[in-house]
Amino acid sequence: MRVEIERSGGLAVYEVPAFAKTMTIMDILDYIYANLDHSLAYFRHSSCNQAICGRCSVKLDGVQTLACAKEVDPSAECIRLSPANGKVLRDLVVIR
Amino acid sequence: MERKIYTSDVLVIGGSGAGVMTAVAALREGASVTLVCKGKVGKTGNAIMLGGTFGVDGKGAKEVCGEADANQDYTPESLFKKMVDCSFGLGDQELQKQFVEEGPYAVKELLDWVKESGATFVFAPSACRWRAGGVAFGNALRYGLEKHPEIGVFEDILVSDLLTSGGAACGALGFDVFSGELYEFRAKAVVMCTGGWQPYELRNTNYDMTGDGIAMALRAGAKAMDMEFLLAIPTIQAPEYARGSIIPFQMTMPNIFPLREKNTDMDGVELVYSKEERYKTNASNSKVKKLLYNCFLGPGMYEKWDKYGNNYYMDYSAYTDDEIREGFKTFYKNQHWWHGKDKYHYIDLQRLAEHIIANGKRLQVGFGNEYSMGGIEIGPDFASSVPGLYAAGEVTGGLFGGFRSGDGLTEMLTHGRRAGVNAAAYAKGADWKEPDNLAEAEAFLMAPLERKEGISPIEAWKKLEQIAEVGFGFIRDGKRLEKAYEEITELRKSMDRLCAAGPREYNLEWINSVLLRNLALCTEAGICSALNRKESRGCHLRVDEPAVKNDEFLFSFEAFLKDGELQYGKKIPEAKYIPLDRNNYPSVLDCIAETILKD
Repeated sequence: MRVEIERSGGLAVYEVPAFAKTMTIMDILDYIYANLDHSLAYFRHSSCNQAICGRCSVKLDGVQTLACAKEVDPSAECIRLSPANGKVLRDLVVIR
Repeated sequence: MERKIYTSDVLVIGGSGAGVMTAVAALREGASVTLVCKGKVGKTGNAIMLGGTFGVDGKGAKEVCGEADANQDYTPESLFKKMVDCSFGLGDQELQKQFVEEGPYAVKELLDWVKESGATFVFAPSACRWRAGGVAFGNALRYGLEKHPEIGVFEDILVSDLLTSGGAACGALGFDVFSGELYEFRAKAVVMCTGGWQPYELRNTNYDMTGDGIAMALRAGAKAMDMEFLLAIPTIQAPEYARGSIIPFQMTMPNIFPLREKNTDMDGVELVYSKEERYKTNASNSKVKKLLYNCFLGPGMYEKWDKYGNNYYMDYSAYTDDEIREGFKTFYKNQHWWHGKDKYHYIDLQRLAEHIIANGKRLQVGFGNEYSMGGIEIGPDFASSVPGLYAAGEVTGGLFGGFRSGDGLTEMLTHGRRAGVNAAAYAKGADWKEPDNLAEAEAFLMAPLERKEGISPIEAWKKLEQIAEVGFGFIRDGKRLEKAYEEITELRKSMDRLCAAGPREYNLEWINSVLLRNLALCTEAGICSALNRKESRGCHLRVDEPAVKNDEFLFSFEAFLKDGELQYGKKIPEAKYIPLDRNNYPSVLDCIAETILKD
């Protein structure tokens, strides 16, 4: 899957291996950060991963959602992630 | 280096139940108080994961908390006895007595906040427990804190180390995770309320329960204890989107989910949970079922650990499709106060039912760590061995010993209330001190940022998780522990090569470098203690050493740092109120049956 991320320095494109199981946006961000690009900034500290703390908002193809709860269609060829509404601090991290 | 400096009598580190209660209690005593939290108050820590209950004894529930129909057979004495037994002799009886006596007052304070903030908690009279949702609990805490605007609150500040002067605590150093700015907090007394730790890849806790407070206290010269004891409960492994949820644990409770599961390994071989009379629990001691699950299912899972690891099935094939669907409707009805229609948090329960039906009526689960019994060694006044350093809640060791019987939520509230009072009293008699380790603490914090090349914190963290998953799971043996110990000591040696080159603004590698160093220290202490505890006790289950050996191991392992290396000692528990059980038992199961479930 092609994952496009609107980072502070411009659009970054990552190739994430096809996954058979349903993954959340957070799973995909974790994969990119751990395996492809350690410099990616997305909200992760002190987070619950279960849509309880409500702090990991991003936009998937322009629609704001919680990264930890929003599943990504495994058959999608390309998705685009961008920062949530608010003042962008760096990459996908916003101050709200 | 430039930094913002804030001063108060008492510095509280942590923003969940223990932190908020400590801050409010210290303020009430007349102290000026600062609370620092690495996330948002009431939305951080493990309390927000709450999906069960917390309680006190029947007398306290009735007379202090105002629950008229609370079960009066559940006496303070029976709660105390249960705590002593469940700790497998290692619990500090003074702390346990305090928990029983002061718990109702702390819970009452929270219940007042719950009521005022409009949240709903539901009281179950027979067990004397309140059922609550994590979000509601967190909101009540936030409400309680906001009622006291005099408390200085700093959120999203990651504290990296304590500041000390002549061996006494006098503040802390940290940074704003968003801006990267450094913060120095000066205080006469510091209370650590940062929660527990867990090193595994399967998480049912907050993402970063990394033992920050324990590690910082160790580096400041304090002792930790009971680090080998971690409590694990059934947690979803698949479907992936629900991984980490504690729904399976709740599904084992007849009052929440009406269907009874058969447990099998991944090949379908039954892992038998014995129905023998001697293992029967009741409303007031049902928490021991967590440990019973570990004991009954663990050995069978262990036989195929190399192949399947921490995975097994909860099998509902005895039921029809509709019965499974209805089961989840009942599940929802029993928790509807805190979740959207037919949901548990974000998980659609009917979708989960369909997943189970399509998967041969099985749910794939593993044992996820929900609580760490070990932590900072404290006295009955909640003071550590470092002057001016106090601790409250899950970050401490000593209350629950080998297995947590009482409730973590009651613990954090009760501890916080008492630690806040004591820290404020200490601060009244203490002088302001200049830290003598500021430069060292700052260099330690900044080193990964300044290093041009080295080891990636996230890659090292993944390695740590693997070490823990393979060799330090909920069911253990000496050989695996030995290998895990070699690997974790090697990994911890590499911590001085962590590299987080890049900007200071929300640099995840930098944040993780701080968290990982803490987690690695806790993990090494846990694995080494587990390796040296050549027996089984409480949540420390060894297939090669199944017996509970009270003649040899009725003590806690203490850990402390000397020249950067972990050293170990022994702490013999005092039996101030109830004599210690000196009998040996062939297994933890026998010990449970003969002690905890005997009466």
